Amino acid sequence: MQYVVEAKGLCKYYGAVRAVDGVDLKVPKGTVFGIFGHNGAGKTTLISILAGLTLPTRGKALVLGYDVVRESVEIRKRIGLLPEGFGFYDNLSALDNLVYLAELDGMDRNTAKKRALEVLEIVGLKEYAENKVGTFSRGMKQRLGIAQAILKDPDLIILDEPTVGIDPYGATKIRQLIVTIAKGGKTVIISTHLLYEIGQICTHAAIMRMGKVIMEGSLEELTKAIRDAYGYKYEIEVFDRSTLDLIKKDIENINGVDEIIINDLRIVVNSRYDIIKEIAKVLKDLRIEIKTFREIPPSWEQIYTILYEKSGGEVSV
Amino acid sequence: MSRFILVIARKEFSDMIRSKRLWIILFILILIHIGTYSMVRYASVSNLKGTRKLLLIRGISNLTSSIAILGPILGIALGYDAISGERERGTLKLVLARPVYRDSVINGKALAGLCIIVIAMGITGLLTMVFGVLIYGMSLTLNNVIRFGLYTLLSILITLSFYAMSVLLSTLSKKSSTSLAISIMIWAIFAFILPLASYMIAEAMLGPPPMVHEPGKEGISRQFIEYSRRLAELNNKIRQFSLITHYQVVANALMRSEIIVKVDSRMIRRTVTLNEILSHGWWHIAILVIFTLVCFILSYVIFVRSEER
Repeated sequence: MQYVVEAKGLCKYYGAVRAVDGVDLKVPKGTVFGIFGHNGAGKTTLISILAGLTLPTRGKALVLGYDVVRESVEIRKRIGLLPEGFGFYDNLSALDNLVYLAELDGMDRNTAKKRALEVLEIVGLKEYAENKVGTFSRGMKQRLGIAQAILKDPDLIILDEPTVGIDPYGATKIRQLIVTIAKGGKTVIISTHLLYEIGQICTHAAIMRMGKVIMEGSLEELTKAIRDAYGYKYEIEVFDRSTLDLIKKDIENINGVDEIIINDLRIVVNSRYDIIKEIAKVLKDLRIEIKTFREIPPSWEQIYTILYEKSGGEVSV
Repeated sequence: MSRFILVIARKEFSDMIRSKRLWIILFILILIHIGTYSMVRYASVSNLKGTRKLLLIRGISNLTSSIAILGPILGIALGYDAISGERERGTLKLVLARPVYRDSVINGKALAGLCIIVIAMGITGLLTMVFGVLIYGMSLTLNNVIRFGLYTLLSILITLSFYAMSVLLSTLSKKSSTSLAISIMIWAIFAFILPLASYMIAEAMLGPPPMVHEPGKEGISRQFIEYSRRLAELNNKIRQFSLITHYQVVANALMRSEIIVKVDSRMIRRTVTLNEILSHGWWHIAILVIFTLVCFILSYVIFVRSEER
C-alpha cells in the first residue's frame, strides 16, 4: 500500500455549511503529513471523517485500505487519534486513564497496564503514572493525549492541533515527540494552524481553505511550485561593501532578474526563474571574496499568503 | 454481551461508587430510617390510645415517601451527566476514537447505573425490612418477605425510571447543567407541583362548586357531594400523570397491609392480599416499566445516530 489515506471528492455538509467540500487527498505511507489551514478551514471535520468518527455527506475515502463509511471500526482498530478538544477523567490517574482506553482498544487488563507504562515512558510521564490527571498541566495532558494515541502501536497516527494552547517549551517537547514517533516508521497526520510547525516537522502537507484542499504535496514540491509560480530569492553577503556595486551590475544582466536590493553588506536578488547557477558563475568570474551565498526559500507564511490570495481569500497570516 | 460493554460498565460502576452524590443520598436515606425508628420507638412506648397506630402508619408513609422523593434524586444524580458530562470533558471523543460501537457506550452506562441502583435500593429495602421486623414487630413470614422484595423492586424501578430520563436528557443536551436543570424541574413537577396543582386543575375543569347547602334544606346538598366525588376522581386522574404517584400507590399498598372497606354498610379493617395489590396495581408498575424502557430506547437511538463534531 503506497498511500495510507486516499480521499476522492470528500464532502461534509452541516446544513448550508460546507465544512469539507470536495477534498481529494493522498497521504503517502511513512510521511509526516501536515494539514494546514486557519480556524474553520475544515481540518477537524476532515480528520473526524478519516478517523471514522463522522460520516461524509458525499465522496469516498480509504484509510489503510478501509472504507470510512462501511469499515470505520476496522479503521479505528488500526489508527491512533488525538482529537481536538479531548479530555481525560480528571479523577483517575494517568495510568488508569490509559489502561481504560487500552482495554477499549481491545487489550486485556494485564497487557493494557504493561503497554500504558511503556507509552507513559515514551512521552516522559512515567514518574507521574499514579498522579491524578486533574493535577496535570496542559502540556502534560497533551503528552498524555499523544500517549493514548500510540497505545495500540498504530500504523497511522492522526493528531489534531497537538500543540494548541501549549507554552513554547511544551510545544517544542511535543514536536520533538512527534518527530521521534515518526522516525519509528509510522505515518503521522498532523493538523495545525501554526505554519512554522509544518516546516519544522512535516515532510508533506496539504493546505486547506474553506473546506477545500488548495495545494498538496511534499514540502519540496510545494516550495518549488510556489517558487516556480511566484519567483526566487537569493542573498549574497560580502566582506567589502564596495564590491556590492560590481556584483549588482553583473547580476542585473542575468535574464529573469526582477529586483536587486542592497542592504548593508548584503545584496538580495529577486528573480522569476531559478538563476542560482548564473549568479554563481558571475561571482566566480568576479573573483570577489564572498561571505555567504544562499537561496532564501519562501517562508510558510509567504507560501500561505500567496496561496490564500490566489484562492480568493483575505490574507490573515 | 460485547466485551466493551463490560469494560465501560466496570469503569462507570467504579466512578459511581466513588461518587459523593451517591453516598450523600444514601446517607440521607439512612438518616430518614433512623428518624422514623425514633418516632416509632416513641409510639411503641406510648400508652395513648390510637397514637401508636397513627405513628406506625406515619412511619411507614415516611419511608415510602422518602424513597419516592430520594429515589428519583438518586436516579438523576447518577444519570444527568452520563453522556453530556463525557462530551463536556472531551472524554467521549477518546472513547469513540477506539473500535467501540456507540451502543456499547450507552449500554455500558445503563448496566452500571442499574447495578448501582439495585445495590443502593437493595440496601434501603433491607434496612426497611430490618426496621419492620425489629421495630414494628413484623414477623418474617413468606408473605412479608415477598412484600419487602416487591417494595424493593418498585423502589429500584422508580429510581431507574428517573435515571433513564436523566440519561435521555443528557444525551440530548450539550451541557450537564442543562440536563440537570430539566431533570430537577420534571422531578419537582412530579413530586410537588402536580400534587399541589391537581385540585386547582380539576376545579378549573369542573367549574365552580355548587352550593354546599340547598336553600331551605338541611345537610350537604346532593350536587355538592357529586361535585366533590368528581373533583376527587379528577384529582386522582391528574396525579397519575406523575410517575411518583404510580410508585406511591403500589408502595403504600405493599407496606400498609391493611385497608378499610365497606361491607354491608359497615366499615371494617382487613388485610390486602398480594394478589389484590398486583391485580389492581399492575398498570401502575407497567407505566413505570414502559417509561423507563422508552427513555432508554430513545437515548440509545439518539446517541447511536448522533455524531461527535
